[in-house]
Amino acid sequence: METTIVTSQYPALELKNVEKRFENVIALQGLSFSVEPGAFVAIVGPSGCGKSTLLRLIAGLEATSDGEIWLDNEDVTEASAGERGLAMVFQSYALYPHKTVRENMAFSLKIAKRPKAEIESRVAEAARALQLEAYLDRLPKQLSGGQRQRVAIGRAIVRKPKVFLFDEPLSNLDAALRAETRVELAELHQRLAATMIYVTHDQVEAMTLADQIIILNAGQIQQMGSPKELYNEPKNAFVAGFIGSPKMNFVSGTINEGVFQSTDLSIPGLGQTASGAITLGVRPEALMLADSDKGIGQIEVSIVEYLGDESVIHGRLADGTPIILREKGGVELNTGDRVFIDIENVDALHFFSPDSGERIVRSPKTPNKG
Amino acid sequence: MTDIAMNPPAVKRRKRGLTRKHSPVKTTAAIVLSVLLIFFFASPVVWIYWASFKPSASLIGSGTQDLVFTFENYKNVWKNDFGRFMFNSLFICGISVIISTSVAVCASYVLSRYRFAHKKWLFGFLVLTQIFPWIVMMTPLFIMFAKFDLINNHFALMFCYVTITLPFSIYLMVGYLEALPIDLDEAALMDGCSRFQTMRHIILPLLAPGIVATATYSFLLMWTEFLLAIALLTKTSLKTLPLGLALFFGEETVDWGAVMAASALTTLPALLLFLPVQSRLIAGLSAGSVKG
Repeated sequence: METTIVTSQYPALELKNVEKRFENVIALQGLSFSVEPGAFVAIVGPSGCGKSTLLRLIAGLEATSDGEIWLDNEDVTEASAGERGLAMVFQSYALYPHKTVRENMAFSLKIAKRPKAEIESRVAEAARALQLEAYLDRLPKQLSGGQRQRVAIGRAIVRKPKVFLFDEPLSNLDAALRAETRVELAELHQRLAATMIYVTHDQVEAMTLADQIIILNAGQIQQMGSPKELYNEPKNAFVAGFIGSPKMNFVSGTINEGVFQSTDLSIPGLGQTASGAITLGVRPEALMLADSDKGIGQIEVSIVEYLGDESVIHGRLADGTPIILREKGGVELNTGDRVFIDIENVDALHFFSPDSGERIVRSPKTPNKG
Repeated sequence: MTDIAMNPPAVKRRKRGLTRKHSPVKTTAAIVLSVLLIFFFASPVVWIYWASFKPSASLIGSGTQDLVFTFENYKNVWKNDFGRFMFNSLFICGISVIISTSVAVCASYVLSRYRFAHKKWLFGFLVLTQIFPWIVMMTPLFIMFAKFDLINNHFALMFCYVTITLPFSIYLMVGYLEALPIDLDEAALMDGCSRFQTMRHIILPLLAPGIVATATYSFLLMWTEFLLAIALLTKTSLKTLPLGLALFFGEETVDWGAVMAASALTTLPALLLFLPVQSRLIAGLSAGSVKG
């Protein structure tokens, strides 16, 4: 496949204070961000957060209520979908059922009145890259889910778009095919060096594919950053809870003179941190079982999930707060067992305001707990 | 293990009833019932065609000429300008169907795909127009057309036919369109199509069964329509088939042979037009019933 060379000095995509209202409902509010050429940006968030609406605004399938959308230093806010030079892969694939694979892939070029020879060579090129050559004369209904998915991607590739838009493209595939296609998408991104915007509700997909992730909730951007930034330095409790699987544990308590205290947990040695009510966030992978009555507290085991290389232990503190932790290998635990837990490193702890949910940064950093 | 692997499909089939065996009594009863039903529906039509080749006298009389076969009725009908009536009907219904179906496709596309204020009310109003019996509208329509000097004008009848068939045609087409995912339209828009190109290249080919079903409904309704035609067309040379058929019912005598031949000729164009598209029509009807 021919590689797209990125030469533009401008952002491939820029949103300036974009807002979308449906009658009295505000779907998206004050969205501003830019995407560098060649970047892979994932937009994630829970159902109904507005991520698909955002993609449709970028695509030109919905009109903005306010704000501007710029593509490659050109204001396209008022431009129609066809004029924007973008390609979109739909969740349902949206292949034209009465057209063959070849016709599906050639359609956009035909509409653009490209020469026949160019259409044929571009379709052949995309078909070769996606291993679809044997299926070019088949109708979509004669293809498997994975093949249809590849045709949908092929239809986007032949256009050589400024930006690729993906709307949950893997959600209709089974788990094995989803993992396989995820790798293929990552390879495709590397090969084309094209800008890609990818909407998904699956944070694992976002973490593995994207250079940058935008987390949306209730129509607002919660945080934009690299997967590492979002994992290590979540801006608020929502981001912290959304990124990571199993999700972060949250325990309400107070902090005073560097000691976190809740009904069941006590964590000393936290250095200078604001005092008062606080929410502690700790990822399951930062927790471990303690050998004896040492550790930060005790939980009652409710379920143990054995995953082969590790076990996920679900339990509850005495006040009912759920706690999840991951242990390497198998563990000999039964429902109702009471076990002590500890933390590997106090630096892995996060603190959030119980009112606003905003992250509270500890300073200075403390040495590792013994 | 092999047994377990092989068993589920068989169990599934049995559950779905695909391999269920019927008792001979049930099968016989089903066949007898089907034959009776077919006889019930088809016998009048078959009798019309059979009777159209019999002398008039033998149809009502003692039946002594049962074996006589004649084209006399058809000759008689043709001599009485039936060809002209057929042309009039084909002309009026053909153009009206094209206009009605085209407008229905466009209107239903807007109703199905666009968001605008009071859409539900508009759609409800369209359906509501169907509750008015035509007979109620006859007098005002006649007065209106008379004022505009449009009595004995085929275009006046076409206007009525399009107006009458349009609401239900739109209703039908909206059902078919709703069954087509909107993603297809959006994919076409992303591919650079205008709304018109989206309709032409993507929606219309997929909507073909629905269009055939809607056009069939409109055509059959117009083809057999009597009330409006008799009110608006008084000149014999302008009359349509149903009016022509009525001419064979004299005040004192009825030429039953001619009536049968005229009836046979009336059903013929409809059969010839719609038999070739019958399979598409059925596909369209079932698609509408499942998804619409």
